[in-house]
Amino acid sequence: MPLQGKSLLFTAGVLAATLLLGMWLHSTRTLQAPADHRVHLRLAALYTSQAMENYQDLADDFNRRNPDVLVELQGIPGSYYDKLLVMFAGRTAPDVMWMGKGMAQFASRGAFLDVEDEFRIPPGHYYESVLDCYRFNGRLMGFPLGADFAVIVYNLDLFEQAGLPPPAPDWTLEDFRQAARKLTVREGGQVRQWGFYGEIDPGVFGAEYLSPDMSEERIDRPGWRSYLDFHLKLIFEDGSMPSRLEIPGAGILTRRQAFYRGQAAMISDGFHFRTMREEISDFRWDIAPVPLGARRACASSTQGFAVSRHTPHRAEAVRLLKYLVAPESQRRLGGILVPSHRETARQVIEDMLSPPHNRQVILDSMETLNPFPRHPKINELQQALAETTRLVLTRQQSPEAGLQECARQFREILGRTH
Amino acid sequence: MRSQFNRSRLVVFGLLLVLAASMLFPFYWMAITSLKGKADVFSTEPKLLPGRQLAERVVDDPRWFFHSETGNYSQLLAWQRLVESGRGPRGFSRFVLNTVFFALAITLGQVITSSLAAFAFARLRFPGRKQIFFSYLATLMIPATVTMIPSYILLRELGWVNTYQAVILPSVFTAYGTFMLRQFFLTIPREIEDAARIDGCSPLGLYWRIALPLSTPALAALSIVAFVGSWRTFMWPLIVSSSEDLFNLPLGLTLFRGMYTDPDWPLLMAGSMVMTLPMILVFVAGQRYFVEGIRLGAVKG
Amino acid sequence: MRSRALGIAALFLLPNLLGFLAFTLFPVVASFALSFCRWDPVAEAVSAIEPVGLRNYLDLLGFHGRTDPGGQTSWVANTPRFWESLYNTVFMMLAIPFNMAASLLLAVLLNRKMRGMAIFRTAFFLPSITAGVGTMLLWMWMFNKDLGSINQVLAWVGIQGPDWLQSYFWAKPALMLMASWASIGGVNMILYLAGLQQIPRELHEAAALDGAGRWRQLRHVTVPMLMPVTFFIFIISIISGLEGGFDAPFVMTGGSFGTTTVSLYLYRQGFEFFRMGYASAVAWVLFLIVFLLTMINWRLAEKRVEY
Repeated sequence: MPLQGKSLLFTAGVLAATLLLGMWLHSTRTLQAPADHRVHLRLAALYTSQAMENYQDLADDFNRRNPDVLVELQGIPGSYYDKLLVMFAGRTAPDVMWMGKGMAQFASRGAFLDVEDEFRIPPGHYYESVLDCYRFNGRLMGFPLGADFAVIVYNLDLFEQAGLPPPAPDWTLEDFRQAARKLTVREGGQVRQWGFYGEIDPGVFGAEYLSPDMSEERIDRPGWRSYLDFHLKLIFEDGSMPSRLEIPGAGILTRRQAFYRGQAAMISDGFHFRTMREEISDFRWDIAPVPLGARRACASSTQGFAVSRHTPHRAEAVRLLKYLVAPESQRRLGGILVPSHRETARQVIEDMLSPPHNRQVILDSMETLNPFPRHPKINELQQALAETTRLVLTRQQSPEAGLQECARQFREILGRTH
Repeated sequence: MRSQFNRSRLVVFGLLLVLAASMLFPFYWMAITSLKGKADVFSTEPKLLPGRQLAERVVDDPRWFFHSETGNYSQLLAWQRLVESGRGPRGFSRFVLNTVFFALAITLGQVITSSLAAFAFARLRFPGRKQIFFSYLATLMIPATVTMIPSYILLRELGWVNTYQAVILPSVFTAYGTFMLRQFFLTIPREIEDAARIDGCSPLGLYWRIALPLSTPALAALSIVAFVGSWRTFMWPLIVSSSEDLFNLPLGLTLFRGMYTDPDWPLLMAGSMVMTLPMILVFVAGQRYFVEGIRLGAVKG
Repeated sequence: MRSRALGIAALFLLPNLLGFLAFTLFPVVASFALSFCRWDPVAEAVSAIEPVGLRNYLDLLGFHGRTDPGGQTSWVANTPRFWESLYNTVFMMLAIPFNMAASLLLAVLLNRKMRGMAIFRTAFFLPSITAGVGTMLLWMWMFNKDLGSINQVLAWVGIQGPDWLQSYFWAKPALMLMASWASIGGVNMILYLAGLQQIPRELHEAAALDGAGRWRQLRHVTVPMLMPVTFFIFIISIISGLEGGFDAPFVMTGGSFGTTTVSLYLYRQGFEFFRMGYASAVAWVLFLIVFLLTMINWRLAEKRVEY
């Protein structure tokens, strides 16, 4: 009995403490929406430590300039699109939201407000290739801040050690392959230094995902075959590239780490190679364009903002959108993207610290972006393709069989009406 | 006879030692990584010993651990939201307090409500017992992936989105705890119960004087399971909360992740250590309830 | 009398039942209704929910005839990927009996008063709480073909290790190994430890008097007395085996090399491809499988244990 009395006392004590803690925490919450006459807008963005600070500055600045509106920034840490999906399902989507790779999936389903008529875009002032990523059936469904894309980042010291000249602006796939081979150093049967670690965009080989009207697959074509063959040659014939495929989000030894440590002489990496500057101190490096194949292309992604079609405050939300993607804001966010506004992009590139010295590559690349098609089922298509690539590049499936199977899946996905 | 007994003991001990060492390795690795500087992690492959870099840092600056620029832990603890507003704890300390609150509330709620329900399922006779129990069991078999959106819509209808109860309540009334305690109540010999019933014990008395004390190990086990589970929960708090003052540690720790740089491993591992240590404490405190030798006198009943 | 029994039962049940009805049963029923609909939560029209009858289930479980160029007709599944993920999941569930036996053995070993046992128990429990993305990345490192510690150890004894996570043959065993590491000393071991405490000591003493050794005591006293706990662990293991196993393939293999589990398949259909109705149908097919397995177990257990 005494023991039970004690455990009852203990349980009651913990219960009381928990309740008190909860009440205190509840009472010290930041009030979400102070009652006033202002229009409240919710702005959602993927929380990343670098970007969040910038977004908060922009939101504060907008609030100062627009006394009738109060913007609340909601940073979502991870699982961004999962959370957006739930919010759309619950009709509680934010008024304005950041968009990255999910743009095509959400916009092609009509999640966003058509803002084509809100923006009067003078011809030539913006990169059309970037704007196109936000156009669906010819209408703007949001506005891109800018683009990120992969170029070749190379270790100049290792090039010199191998007796190679730096890559020429018009180097071809064959030049690239030769260089990668010469840059590979073996020691006692083990590779000590890889020539290349990364991926050359399929577009370079003339590969396409879908027909222009997006009704038919274009997988079982020579472009994809030569894309796979080229990487197979690098990995297994020349031994100049590691066979370990990178899995998104998980990098123990990422391309970058291999590059910093001098284990890879060349990697493919995006505009955010700007952050590399802090990490590299003991060798010289620069960037080169993606080698020329059947055509010029580089893998790319865009970021921007869009307005929910459920928003009750259309005018204010569009005003916020315009402010967030204005050239001035693009300049502030220029550290992570190449702005979609040409003049701003030029300035951002000019103001960049060296290295890289070869900055023209960045602006040139903006003209040859090769984005994924803006199809509602793009995620499914991408996944089928990624699966095939992994199997073929680990030689567990032949390129013919892999592409045939992948094409079959593409047809099945495209043919399904739901 | 005696020496043989000792030898078998020794074998068991040695076996456990080897097994435990392999179990502990990842944790050990996490601990030493959390003490490293960002640049040290990849300078070589994983090393078993913290090595020279750490020693050099300590010699360089004996108090580095406490400096927010260099020590991973102090960097975590000093973390604050970019914009400060409101009263009460903010930043890292708020995440910790929220996590403690969620974990305690969910654990208490689960243990109390599911022990009551489990007793009814295990020991009371009433119409519909089997059917209700099976519907409990059945809900365990539906993945949360497809119930998440309906749950969210329900909470929105209740006006509870972005509140504490939205995080806590859906995790309290689980079928898991009810099912588990029912199984443990079933192992209590009927004779004890019958004897008490003859003495005029009411159902509530049976629950309080017989079932609960005899199931202390099970209650401790459920508490640990519930505590650990709610301490680590990520997806549901993310879905229902829209402001940082509701975030728990798993959510808060993801705020340190950058999108474009490689992850800061030592900082992440320091975060994982902060996540793990309280759970270890709870386990160490709770395990004495299911170790030989502390069985309650009431068993003799 | 009947109503009195019901009243008393209600007293015990209601605190849990009310919350259960609202927060657990309602979403479950809603998902059942959704499994007969097409639902794209982002799609424009409010009528994005559209009843489609059994179409989701037919897509999922149906077969159709396919004629190859030789004129031969063969039956092909409408959705081979679902069946493949089911196969992967069931394959990885083969570790369940082994894991349960290991948990029980560990619990018996650790259930003694001996100096340092608390440290051992904590050590074995640790993997289950540290398991998460961090440890998965560490395991990826350990499984790495060239740098990984597992292959380095194998190399000492002259075996050239495989490329664990990038091979059809080895990826599943690799994930199973990691899952066993995380689960053996975890919840199941705790439940067994708690179960061991519930066994009246007199039973062991009586068996010892009859001259039963440790092994026979384990077989004839411990294991039968733990049946209700084992039953619980087995059911929960089957449920979590069929419905869990999402994070590891997601992080470590991206679902390639035969590691897409049903739960990963389900997540992708719902949250990546926005096919919520279809995903609900997958969930309910899964439910049916688990429910049948549970019922079979229940019947078997009922024969052996007096409930």
